[in-house]
Amino acid sequence: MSTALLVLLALVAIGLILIFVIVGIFNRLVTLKNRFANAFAQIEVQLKRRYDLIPNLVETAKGYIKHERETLEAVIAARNQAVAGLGRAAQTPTDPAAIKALNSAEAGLSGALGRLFAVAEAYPDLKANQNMMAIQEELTSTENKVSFARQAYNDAVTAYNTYKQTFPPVVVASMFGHGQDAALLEFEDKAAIAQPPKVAF
Amino acid sequence: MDFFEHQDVARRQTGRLVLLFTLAVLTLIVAAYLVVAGAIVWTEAGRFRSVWDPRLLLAVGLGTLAVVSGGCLFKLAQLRGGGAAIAEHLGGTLLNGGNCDARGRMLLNIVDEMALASGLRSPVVYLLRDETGINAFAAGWTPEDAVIGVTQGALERLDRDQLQGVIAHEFSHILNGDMRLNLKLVGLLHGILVLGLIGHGVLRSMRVRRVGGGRKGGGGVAAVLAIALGLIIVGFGGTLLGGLIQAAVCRQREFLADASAVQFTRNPGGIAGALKVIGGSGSGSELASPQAGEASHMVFARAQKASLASPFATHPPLDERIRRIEPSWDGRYTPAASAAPAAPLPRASARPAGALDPGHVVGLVGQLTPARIAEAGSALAGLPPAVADAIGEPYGARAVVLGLLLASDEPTRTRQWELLAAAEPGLIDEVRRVRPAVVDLGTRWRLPLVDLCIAPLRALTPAQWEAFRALLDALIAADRRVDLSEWSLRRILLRVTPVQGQPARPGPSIHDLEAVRDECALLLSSLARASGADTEAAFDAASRALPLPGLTLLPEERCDPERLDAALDRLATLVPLRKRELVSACAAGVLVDQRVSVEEAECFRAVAGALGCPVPPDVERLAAAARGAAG
Repeated sequence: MSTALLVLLALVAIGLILIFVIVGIFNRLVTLKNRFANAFAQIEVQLKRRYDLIPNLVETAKGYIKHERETLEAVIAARNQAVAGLGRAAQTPTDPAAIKALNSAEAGLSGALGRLFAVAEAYPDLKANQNMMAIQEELTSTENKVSFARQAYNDAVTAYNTYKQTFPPVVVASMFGHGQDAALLEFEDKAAIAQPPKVAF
Repeated sequence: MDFFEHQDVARRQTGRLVLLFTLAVLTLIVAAYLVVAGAIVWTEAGRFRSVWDPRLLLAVGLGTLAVVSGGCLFKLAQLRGGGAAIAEHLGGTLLNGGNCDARGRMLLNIVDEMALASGLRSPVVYLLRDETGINAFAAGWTPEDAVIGVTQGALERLDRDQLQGVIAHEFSHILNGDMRLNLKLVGLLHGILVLGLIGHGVLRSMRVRRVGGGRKGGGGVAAVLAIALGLIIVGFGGTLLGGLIQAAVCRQREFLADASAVQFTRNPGGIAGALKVIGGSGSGSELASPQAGEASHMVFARAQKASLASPFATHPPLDERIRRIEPSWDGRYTPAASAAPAAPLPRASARPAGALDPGHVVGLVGQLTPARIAEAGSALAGLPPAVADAIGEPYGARAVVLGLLLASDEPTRTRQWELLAAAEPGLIDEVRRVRPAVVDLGTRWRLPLVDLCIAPLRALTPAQWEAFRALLDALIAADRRVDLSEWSLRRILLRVTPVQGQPARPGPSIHDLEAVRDECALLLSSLARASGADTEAAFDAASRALPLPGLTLLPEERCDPERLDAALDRLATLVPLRKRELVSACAAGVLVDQRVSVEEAECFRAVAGALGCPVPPDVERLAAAARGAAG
């Protein structure tokens, strides 16, 4: 057996090992990406529920808050913007730009809701309204679920980003279309609920 | 044959698998040698020498071995993720109450009913949304990390009875111990198939390069081309051999699973109907995922188009499967999109008499009957809506489990509420919401509820799971002691593996009870001490039932929960027939005074479950308790 053949065999062996390693990395990247995309589906369900509650909230508040039309309109506008942002992000949950847009839309909504609740402080009748209390309750519980689902999504995104930056994957990740880091969901979902009117129990 | 004998047969298939695999590798080496030697003779036609060259054989043999073992190790490393890794690899998305439509809900109900009826922890369900063929699979290293995958086609085109037949078939694979065998097979097959895969890969990449780069280094390209062709030729042999192995190991298990599905549902129309719909629909049971090949032996019906290798198909032909279930079948498939209405399920029959002997209890392990499934269905339907919703998704499932752990005495409970509030403020509201309904269901529902919560809990990310585990441990430790029901509950939750984590692989099998003498003594002593009645008598009865003379009752202080957990982990690796003796002995100890409290029964179920032997709960009383709580 000639040396050339030996060298060829050695080269083939090295090539095979490389192929194994690269295929492994590729598969792992795909799995991790699918995971956080699926995790987004979970948070989408909860966010939708949250957005569906807000028109009811505004409708109920309208009957009491006569002189604060802008505040109410701002909530609706922020809500619509967030709905649009969610729609875009749900289509491409792997696109960091869409997630960042959703982040800022959510921040806007939280701010608008916070102002509404601050205004509502001045209307004891509104705070005592049964309907209002039920919506508040539902909103709080949805907020909690959003925060939980967001945590799961962020865990999955972090796992993906971390894996991408470790040694062997970092060399090949961008070749396989995994160049960009995925974005975290960073909205403050507690803001709106942090100072709700203290509904008496 | 009972549960343990089926498991034993599946285990012994592993030996056959290894033998066939060795033969296949030897054949591959010979084929590779012939191809390489042929190539050398051909290129060096001028100076002909003997085809027989031991040094060449050695080199080719080692090379082939290296590739095959590399392929196997690569795949087995990927399979460390267990059943969930397979499902994700095939493109599955996790299904739970929060993200599914009415039909998805129905599928989850079918799975939950069967899990509740068999005493198995609910398996996670994955939906293969992009697959229009009708197919399903069960995968996992142990029942604890089992997942069930169902294609979108199956979900849309099968009616409830047919879908139930398919799920019963998959449950049979979980209960009969086929999943582990199947996973090993995936790993070994990949090693055999990898030569051909590489050949195809090289060819494909060369085609791409040819288009892009023009002609350079013609000699090198020819050499690489020749190597690729050689790999493909040898690889084709590998594909044939792989198919042969899949067929040899799996076909009988498929017949067994079909037969079990009929036995579980006593509704031949269900599974036969599903097979007929597959036969009558255009895309049949094919999977589109490129990864389907190596998983094709673990799905419900053939995943790949009939090919040259079809004499060695992974699944028996549809006709033969249907005829075995329905001997009088007229040979007509059900045309697509008009599923035949199937016969209604028989309702529950009378309770079996004389339930209190160990032999009967052992006979119950891993068994499903239509009556049980129907009762489990009505028990689930009777659950208060608050509980039913909560156990459908991870957020609520956590609250249910935590609600079950809250103590009945005031000071401990106050302490536990404080721990909850400190851990996650939102969770406390949810616990407060579901707890009254959970408490109303009574102690009988405690472990069944936990079993049902396992699937949603496995959807937690590893970080969320760790946080939840820490909270559980803190709640259990709040009163500074672990009582029987807490231990049972903790034991079940201890082994939960999030789908994103790595499930524990079972260790090597233990064949002899003598090797686990200490563990047996500890287990039987702990159970005897937990029975509350005459400890000595319970221990005597149990140790007499075990063919392991000279066991002694251990003192109270040596029966602590941590040691028992470790002992159970080790005992879980006993071979099935030895497990039967052990479970039988445990039952003898529990039944010695003919009085079995709910706590005792649940403790026994937790122990048997930890040994991998699911004992069904008393579903009739569960149904009654659910009705009582709802009404």
